[in-house]
Amino acid sequence: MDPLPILGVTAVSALGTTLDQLRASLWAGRSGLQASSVVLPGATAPVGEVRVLLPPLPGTLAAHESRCARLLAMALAPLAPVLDGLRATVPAHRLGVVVGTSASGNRDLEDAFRSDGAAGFDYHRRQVFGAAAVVAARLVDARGPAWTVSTACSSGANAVISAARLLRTGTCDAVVVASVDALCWTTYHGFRGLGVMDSRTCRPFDVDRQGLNLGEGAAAMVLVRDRPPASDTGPELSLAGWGAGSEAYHMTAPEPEGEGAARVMAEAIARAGIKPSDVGYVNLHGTATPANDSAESRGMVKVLGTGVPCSSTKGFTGHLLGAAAGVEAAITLLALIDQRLPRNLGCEVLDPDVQARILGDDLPAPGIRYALSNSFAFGGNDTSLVFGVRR
Amino acid sequence: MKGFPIRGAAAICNGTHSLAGDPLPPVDDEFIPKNVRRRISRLIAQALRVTKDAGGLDAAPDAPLVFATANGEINTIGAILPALLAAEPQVSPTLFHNSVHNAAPGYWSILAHRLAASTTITMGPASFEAAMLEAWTHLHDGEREVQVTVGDEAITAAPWADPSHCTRDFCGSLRIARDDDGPLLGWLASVACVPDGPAPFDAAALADVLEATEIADDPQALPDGAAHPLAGAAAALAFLLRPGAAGRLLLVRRSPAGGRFVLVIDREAHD
Repeated sequence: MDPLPILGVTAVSALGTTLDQLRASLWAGRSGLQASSVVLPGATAPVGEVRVLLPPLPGTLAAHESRCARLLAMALAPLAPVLDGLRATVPAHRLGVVVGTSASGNRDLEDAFRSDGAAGFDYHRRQVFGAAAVVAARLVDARGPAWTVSTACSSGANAVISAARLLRTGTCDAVVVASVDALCWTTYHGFRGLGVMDSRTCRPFDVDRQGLNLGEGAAAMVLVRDRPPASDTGPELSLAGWGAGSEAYHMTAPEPEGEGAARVMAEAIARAGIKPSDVGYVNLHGTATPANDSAESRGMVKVLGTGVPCSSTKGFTGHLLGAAAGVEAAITLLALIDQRLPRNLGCEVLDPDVQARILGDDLPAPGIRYALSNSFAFGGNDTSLVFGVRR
Repeated sequence: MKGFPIRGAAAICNGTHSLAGDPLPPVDDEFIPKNVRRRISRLIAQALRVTKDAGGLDAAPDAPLVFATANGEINTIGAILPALLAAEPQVSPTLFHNSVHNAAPGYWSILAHRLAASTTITMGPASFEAAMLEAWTHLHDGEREVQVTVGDEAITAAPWADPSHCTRDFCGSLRIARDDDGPLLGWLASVACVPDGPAPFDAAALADVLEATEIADDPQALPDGAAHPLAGAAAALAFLLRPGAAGRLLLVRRSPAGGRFVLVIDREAHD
């Protein structure tokens, strides 16, 4: 496929609210995982919490207030200059919005339920999942198609794919694609109940890994059909391809040989029209559950062999669920911009069963052109995105 | 204005009846094993049934599934919330993995052994119409077939969610192809998202221009009068499934984000 230009990218996570803060933490090897101080008081496992005051939504959107909506607004705000630059050539009705989320305003619903059974809770504005796209569309003044994509932990990636199709078919000229999830007790105790949460800081691909840590945040990017002339003098970023498929195996456990992961990575590479040898880095799903990391490594090796550098960055941010793919796309794009690959933070002793080339430390990558970002989800919903850079 | 051929369609109300109110045959026990049936919600069970009844098992192996729902597994969320109030909360793993909006397509891929991609689109009462535009982009982007399944169940365990806006279980499914070389139920002639303009939107005037024989202007209820966020899907499926019907349906749906989704579905007369 012809690459789709990316004009701006943002990320909000436990590593900060700007790309520069994200970059600084990544290259310093500084994790954002720690005991919760605000959102999940008393939680015993570390979490990747956004520890800044989240500004309220504008007054016209006050009815949609939730922690999720505030995180989303924070991720969208830095895109304003890019969108302002586009408005001369892209009318509002040609600007679409796709948002990925797996929990929407559930954290606020939980508080309301604890308080009074949620008797006065405005579900249709604060928690229904479509509200995320409503908030985003109003914040960026988009009048084109808008909807929410919700496929659990691959929501952010499927939102990117949905946006790409809106552009490839000429339905939109530009799409703001975002993803968001706030920490909540439902997911915290849900993953604990599944026995896949580490009470220590998570250790992706470590021989003694015990499971994931949760995180929260949001990410956003602007995808366009055509790159505006002289829009930017920096590296030209693009979505070069994608793969998506189902494992048809189990609702929560990955197919152990990594066949599903391999299929979507191979499809993504083929769609991008590149060769496996063109791939310079893979940002892995890497949840640090024993099953995921083992299967994903096998899938990686099937498609890319044992030489392509890869890492999970969930040791920095935690698992952001519906926002994971968005924030990890931002990290993957930073790797392409900075020509530097992030380490797989948290792994002390590499699992000998893992044959993929897991990065113990950052790695300079001069001349890197393409990188993949994997996201997998409940229901066996697998995705892989290919990002490209041209200087 | 031919568009994309619709290969199959199915709908189910309250788990037992057609849109016209007729009892449906009992569900095929072999497709959903008993151990799975015990674990799944009404929404998942009915979404599986309509996906199969619309011919999903005969769809092209790479045909994606687009699932649309306004509220998703809202009753499952309602069942989880009380558990969070305990001093040592224990959330059922089954309820937890059933609570995601893509639970139904996940079960479908497992039971039908399908490796094709699936996604879940949600946009309140415009969820069906948004999913149809998503499906339209799949077909225009080269997919040879796509299946759209929609579903929302009556809100029975989430009193905080205004249960009056969804008082019935309803699921429906459509198989839409790119090429007209197979069985034909009708045509998806057009799907678009139209922005709000300076003049009020006039669905009747648009229906005149399009020579529509039926118009569904922001429908809010199923054919039996029960309020439902997927009333647009019910109107489309009733048009496609009604014996002997022919003509053109114009379906208009206000989007919660502003503007309107506009769908045009054609049926030709058959001998």
